[in-house]
Amino acid sequence: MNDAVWATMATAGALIAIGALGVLARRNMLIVLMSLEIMLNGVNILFVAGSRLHADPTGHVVAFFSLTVAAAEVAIGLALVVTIFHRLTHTDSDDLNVLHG
Amino acid sequence: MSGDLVAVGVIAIGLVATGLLVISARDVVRGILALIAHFLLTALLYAGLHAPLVAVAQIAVYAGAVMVLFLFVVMLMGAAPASEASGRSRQERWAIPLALLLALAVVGAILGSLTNVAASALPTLPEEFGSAVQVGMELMQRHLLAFELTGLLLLVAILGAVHLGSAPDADGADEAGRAE
Repeated sequence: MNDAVWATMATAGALIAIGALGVLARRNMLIVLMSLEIMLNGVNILFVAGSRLHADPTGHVVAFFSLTVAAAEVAIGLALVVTIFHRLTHTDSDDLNVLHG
Repeated sequence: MSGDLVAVGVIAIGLVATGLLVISARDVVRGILALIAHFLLTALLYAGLHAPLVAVAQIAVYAGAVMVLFLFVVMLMGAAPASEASGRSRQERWAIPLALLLALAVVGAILGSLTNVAASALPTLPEEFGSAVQVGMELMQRHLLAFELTGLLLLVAILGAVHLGSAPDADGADEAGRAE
């Protein structure tokens, strides 16, 4: 039983790394946003698994807050993507170099 | 007991596979579909961890609302394929070792932090653990301020999205010309 929670937490760590790989390697901003979602999801799984491990529902509450913040982040992020698309007609993050020093 | 481990293992393989599908997707719509499968599998995992309310919220908010928003944006942009320049860039070469390093660090930290609770068996849960009533009471009694602040955060996010979405030329028409 304990092993199952362990395996869940290790999976969550792997998901965080997979999301980071997507954020680092991809240049399509929609895919980058989706990779961010995978990372947030991994952290959420950690919270819920920790809740199970300690029989404490606080982890569920934190998971809800994280869900809300993620929803807000997606709304802003997608609005930015649409704005960038209107200006560049694509969303390759390598071409966003107007602020380049 | 070991049935739990097998179920978690199957879901874990599915989660990693759909995650890899998302970050390697050439077509954005295909990536979105993989991400929906990813979120549904996560909800299954939550159900197995005695978190039914979080599982339902996961399906409704993530697999439902958020992914519909993604699909809507793809629709606005005309379902253009993920036109990334072919060939590996420098950033792509560095990304894989860095991500492997992060995986090692995170999984190591998680498993290392569990060594002191490893020996003990999992605590038995009360009947109503994770139910809407219990989580709702926790939310409304011990975390009321944070709950209210989340409402404020969502309001600010809505206002920001509306501002970004409306009149893109009003504040920076010349920047748009320069960028192109």
